[in-house]
Amino acid sequence: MDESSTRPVPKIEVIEDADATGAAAEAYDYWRASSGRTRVPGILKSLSARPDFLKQAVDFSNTIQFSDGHLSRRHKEMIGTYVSFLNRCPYCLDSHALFLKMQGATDHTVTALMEGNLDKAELTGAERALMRYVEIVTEGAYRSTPEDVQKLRDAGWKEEQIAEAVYIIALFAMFNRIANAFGVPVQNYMAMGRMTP
Amino acid sequence: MSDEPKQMLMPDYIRDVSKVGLKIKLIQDADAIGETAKVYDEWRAASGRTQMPGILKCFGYRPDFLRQVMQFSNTVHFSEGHLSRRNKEMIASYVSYLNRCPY
Repeated sequence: MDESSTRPVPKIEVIEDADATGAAAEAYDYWRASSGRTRVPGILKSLSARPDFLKQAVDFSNTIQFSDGHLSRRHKEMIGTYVSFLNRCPYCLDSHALFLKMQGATDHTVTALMEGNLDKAELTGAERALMRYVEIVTEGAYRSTPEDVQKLRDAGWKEEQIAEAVYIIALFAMFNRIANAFGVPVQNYMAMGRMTP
Repeated sequence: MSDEPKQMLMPDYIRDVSKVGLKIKLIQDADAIGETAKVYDEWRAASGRTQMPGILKCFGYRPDFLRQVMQFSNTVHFSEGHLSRRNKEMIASYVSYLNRCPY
């Protein structure tokens, strides 16, 4: 089979870097300036129909995901990786698994989370409780109970950390759906061991 | 089959979801201090309303993020775009049904 027949086909059209003009080009440049990188990731190109929203997405992702908050960046990437597994989002799984690795997680643990195998992952008791909660909220937040949240408190998580975990879980629910609905091609970060430029 | 539309009923699980009540502590209007109080005030000024909606209070632990959530919600949801506001609310109602979110 030649490469073109195996390359995934996007489901919804996006504006490519070279084709961007006007507000979309400006939003792409906004991301390039904020990241210091050149090639706009597929997930952001999915937002090109609304460049104003794209810029806001860059900003709020930096605020809540790509920085330490009540939770460490590492725990955020752990949540992001596991949610992306649960939602079966290969694009997000690939990129955030690399980010988790860059945050110091072992290959063994990154692989285990990518496979959704919590038993194999090297997790503390508190992290294990957090991942179990991630599962509950992702699979049906309405079914979560006050007892589920109490288990997190008992494991040592503070209210503001639990709250932030929910924001991250929800953020990935959103981006997983966007990536999968558009059919954003995987960037092969994990195979390359690095991000695209 | 009659052409008459069926009467809409709130399914049991929707009632059950509502019954559970608050699971994570929210920062209530009266308890907000510092940056959280400031963002709550900004919302009150912009909306002309006095009591913060529960969904926004969920974000009270990260007022910087709350401010951004209010901004992008206005950009993409609470306004006309490529889709009409009406079609957006149609999507939102149906997604909220599918995700069992009574709020």
